[in-house]
Amino acid sequence: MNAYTGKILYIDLTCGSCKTGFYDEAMAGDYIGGTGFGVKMLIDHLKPGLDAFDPGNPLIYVSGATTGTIVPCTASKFGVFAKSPATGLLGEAYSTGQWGAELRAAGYDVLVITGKAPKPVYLFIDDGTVQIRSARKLWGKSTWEAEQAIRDELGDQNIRVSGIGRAGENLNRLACIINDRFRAAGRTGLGAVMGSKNLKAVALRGTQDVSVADPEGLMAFCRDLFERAKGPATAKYRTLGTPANMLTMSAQGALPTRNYREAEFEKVENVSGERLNEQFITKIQGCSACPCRCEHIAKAREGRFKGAVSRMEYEPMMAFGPYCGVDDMNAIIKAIESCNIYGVDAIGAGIVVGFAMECYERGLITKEDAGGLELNFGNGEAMVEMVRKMSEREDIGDILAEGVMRAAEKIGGGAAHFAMHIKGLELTGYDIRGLKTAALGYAVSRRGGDHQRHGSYGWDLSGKVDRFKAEPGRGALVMGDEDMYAVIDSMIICKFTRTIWQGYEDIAKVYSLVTGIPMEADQLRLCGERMSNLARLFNIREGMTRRDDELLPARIHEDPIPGGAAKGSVVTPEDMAILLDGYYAARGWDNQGVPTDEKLDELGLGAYASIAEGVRA
Amino acid sequence: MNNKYKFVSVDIGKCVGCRVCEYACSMEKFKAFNPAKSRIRVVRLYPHTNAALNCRMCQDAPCVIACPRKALTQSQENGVIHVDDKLCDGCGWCVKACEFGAIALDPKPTVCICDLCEKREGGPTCVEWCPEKALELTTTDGLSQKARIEAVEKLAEAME
Amino acid sequence: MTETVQLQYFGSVRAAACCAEEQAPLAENTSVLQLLHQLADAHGEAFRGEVLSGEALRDDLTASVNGAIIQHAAAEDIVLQPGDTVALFPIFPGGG
Repeated sequence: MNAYTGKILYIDLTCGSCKTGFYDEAMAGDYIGGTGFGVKMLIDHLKPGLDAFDPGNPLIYVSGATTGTIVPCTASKFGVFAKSPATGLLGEAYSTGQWGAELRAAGYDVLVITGKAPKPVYLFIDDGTVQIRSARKLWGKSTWEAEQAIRDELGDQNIRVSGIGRAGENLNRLACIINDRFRAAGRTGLGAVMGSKNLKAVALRGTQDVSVADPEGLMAFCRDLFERAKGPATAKYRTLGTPANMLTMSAQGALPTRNYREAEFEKVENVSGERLNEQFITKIQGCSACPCRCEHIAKAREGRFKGAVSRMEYEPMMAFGPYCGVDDMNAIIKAIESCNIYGVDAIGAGIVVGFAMECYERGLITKEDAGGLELNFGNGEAMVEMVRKMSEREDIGDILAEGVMRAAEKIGGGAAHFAMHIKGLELTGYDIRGLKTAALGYAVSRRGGDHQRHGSYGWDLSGKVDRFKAEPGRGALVMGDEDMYAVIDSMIICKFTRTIWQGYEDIAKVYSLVTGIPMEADQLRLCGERMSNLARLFNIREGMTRRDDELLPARIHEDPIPGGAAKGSVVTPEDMAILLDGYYAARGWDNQGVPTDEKLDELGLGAYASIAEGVRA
Repeated sequence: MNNKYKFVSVDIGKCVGCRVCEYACSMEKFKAFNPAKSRIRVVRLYPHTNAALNCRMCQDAPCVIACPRKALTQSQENGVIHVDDKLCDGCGWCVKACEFGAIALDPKPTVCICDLCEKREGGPTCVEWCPEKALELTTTDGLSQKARIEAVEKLAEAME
Repeated sequence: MTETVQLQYFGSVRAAACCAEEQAPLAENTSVLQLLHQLADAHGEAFRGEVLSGEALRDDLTASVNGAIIQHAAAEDIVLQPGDTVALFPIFPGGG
């Protein structure tokens, strides 16, 4: 095969053994890579019903179809999968930087890590050979310290490291896996799964060729794609970047502020993308063979947090800015830097702190609980300190490390009303009360409260539909988004370059040029649908039902947006019924959201039909 | 006469560390993607220093002088270092001699060093593919001339 | 007294227009789409690229009139009144 290595590395940490497995062209052509490979490997290797911290929960790394090539922007993208400790459902996250290309160059496209090491270890995969090395001296170190220590120990500053910090070691359910300093397989708590296995990091060195089926055809097509990627389609990512969303979302009444109490931030000018770029951004650099270069690096300028450095995107800025009522850009930069160092989801952690602030203001958490911190909205210093406390499970940080869903149960006093999560995964930066297509996308996302599997806010914000109305037709729109994103996350292509691709046709073309496997646009779309359905079956097998899709946070159902462009908006249960019925119908599922036998046959998923049959009324 | 030798020079202010040059170079030379075999190599230093480095066609190239088997020769025409595969035994003295890390060993054994894509129509592939236009084929004279012009432009602007 | 409309620009649209807000002259019976073409003529290619795709509105752009997001398909039918406020926001597919 071209590009694909065809190799799977199985590692059992309990007995310290490794073996190589293989996948064939049939798997490649049906599941592409990334999402497809991850979901398939996970559903095939996880015993249903296991706790996420059980040694039997496999931690799975996957590369994409075009990983390791010059296709924009794909070279280093990879995915991580496991059963999520946050949701008990599909755990899935993607990262980029430099690590992913090295995995393929080291000879593997899939790593399946099971078991639990008796003592802390790290893996070193060196051009096809595998070592399980002691991490005794690494355990307790930050992600950055551990990366440097591994490079020094192995004598090579180019070794790529994907590893956990204190949050993962402490089984914080929002722990992430960091690579290349600023990059994360961020959401669904995969860092905690890694920590539960006593696994500190996966280090790589790869020097093998990645060949492609049609080098000349590929380079010619990539020339064209590069031109598109440097043009107006991507200009907004390369100039202000996603932080431009701060002013945009606030003006449109969609900026989650103070734990979703409001949808606009009165101090948004202080934390705008414009101000960030003028006063705090020191460089905009690029990742993994990307012509776009959108990595905005900021440095805190003054005050207690002077010198903190972080990559900046809208979501973490929202989470540590308006979400916590904080308008101090230096504190926001420091908070995100802390998330990188401690290895915790930089979106979710902000949502958890915002939740804690509301609890504090309502007297459900005391100053003593917070270890002496005054956890009022707007207290940037307390916010930064909470990232550390949650990662170290200190004081109230121990409860908050469980995520807002479980923390609200423990804290009680009505906290569940404003615990902003769906299926246990914290919500993100679009106030769905005033974005009804997005509300559907978030409700049915296979990860839980997540915008990255659909991006359906695009429909609401571009005025192609009425943002305030729930209609059955939205289901087909969300389905289309999900299946396209599943394909994008299988190649794996950066979503920021999404608009340079003219639909499935371009992606299918590049797929064939790289892999040599014939692929048409319709086939590729079907692959996306297949992945969405297989992921649905996985979640159903782990106990998810229609009720879980209906359950949005009480605040979303009952507290109308108090002011701004979306004033008065909520998502009612009637809205949800309309939206879900429309979505299930578009998907060809029954009215409980279970794929029908016909649909599974159509997608070649007959082998998994028993999962659906098992739950059908 | 090295101020006439052209080489691929990086503008550190423009380089964003994207490594497209490495992918383009390895594809050009080996018909496969492999940054480890690229003749131009990117260095990324935290938090945001990036530079792509390759052979600078030194006058009296140290790598040539260091080679115990005289396997390396430098073209008088364009300064490109050529290796005689029959003589090279992969000892690596040339690697030690180069202050820029621009020469590396290839398993054959032979050495891997920038040859300006001598035989390629359109010249160096890395220059063509760099999305930031951070690489240019220039001479040392060309670089100092550019620096002088920029200095004068800044002065003129300040005087207005 | 020339009739005008108020324009508000956000994100990369603002960068391309080189201002956050402006007043633009409004001729009678000008639709939103027509106005955007006029602005593109005035502000240049970078602005055109941010706002238009061929003749129509760019797909990943929010356009609102007096605070209400307009449907792209209706952009050529909605006739602006003097004193209206038109706001333009880029959308980021793929979150971040």
